[in-house]
Amino acid sequence: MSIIALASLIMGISVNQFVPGGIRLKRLISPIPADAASRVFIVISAESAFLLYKGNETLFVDIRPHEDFGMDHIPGALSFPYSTILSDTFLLNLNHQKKMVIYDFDPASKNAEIAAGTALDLGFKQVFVMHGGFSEWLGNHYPVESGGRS
Amino acid sequence: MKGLRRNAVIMLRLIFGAILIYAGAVKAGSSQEFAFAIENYRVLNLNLSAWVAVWLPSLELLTGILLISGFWPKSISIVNVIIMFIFFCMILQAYIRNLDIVCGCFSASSGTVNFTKLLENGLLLAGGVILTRLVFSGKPKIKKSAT
Repeated sequence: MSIIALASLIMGISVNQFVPGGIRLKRLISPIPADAASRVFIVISAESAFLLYKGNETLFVDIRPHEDFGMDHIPGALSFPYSTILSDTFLLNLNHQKKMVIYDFDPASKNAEIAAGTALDLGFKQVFVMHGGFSEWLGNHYPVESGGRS
Repeated sequence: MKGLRRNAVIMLRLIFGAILIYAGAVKAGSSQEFAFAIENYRVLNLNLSAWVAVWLPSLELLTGILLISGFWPKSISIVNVIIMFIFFCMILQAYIRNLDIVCGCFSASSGTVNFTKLLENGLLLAGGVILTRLVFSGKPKIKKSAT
């Protein structure tokens, strides 16, 4: 039985290195830190996020699904759905020195906090989480745009 | 009676083999999505779910192939019943906790967890137990004496 268990594990890891929706070994052995949601990122309100937005030097990362992002999002935001957090393309090719605001739709999103913890783990220096989420941004009637995927 | 038992074993092996090969094949290419389906059961965190999502489809595939091919029938029938038991427990706890989640049984986005799904997995577990019992109740081979 242990042979079957071991053989299937090796087979699974091997297959996952090549299939597009697979989880790479690198991601398996350097997983999302267990304390990702409690890492030292800065929680900000939509008002503060809007000030950063006006400064025009901050990356906005939208972790909602692509379909929701396509409907409306913060102008200039990048789409990295939470469902891609296990892929090796999550937050790929972004400037690590820039400030980054991560947001989900709902306020106090655990997913946004985990994504922020992962961003810190990936080497991003200044990571913010918009605590009120995109719903607060909409509630404050701040600008939005639609269309696009990234 | 012996022929009936033999036919039942072959039939159950083919059924479970086909189910497992199908379930493993459809999930093998979408481990990321499947990891989230596992995490939704709120038993494992995302990291452990990722390992299970990588391992389980291959285990299902391998078990299915070995069930059909007839290698190591006793060990494989035990592996099969363990897989069915784990599936049943996961569905049962989700049903009791009233979790509104997709089951992820045959693909990462297959039907939601409900009583039908629980019944379906209960029947699979019962079938697995019957198969194991039939495999183990086979007449043991009599070793020829050296003398």
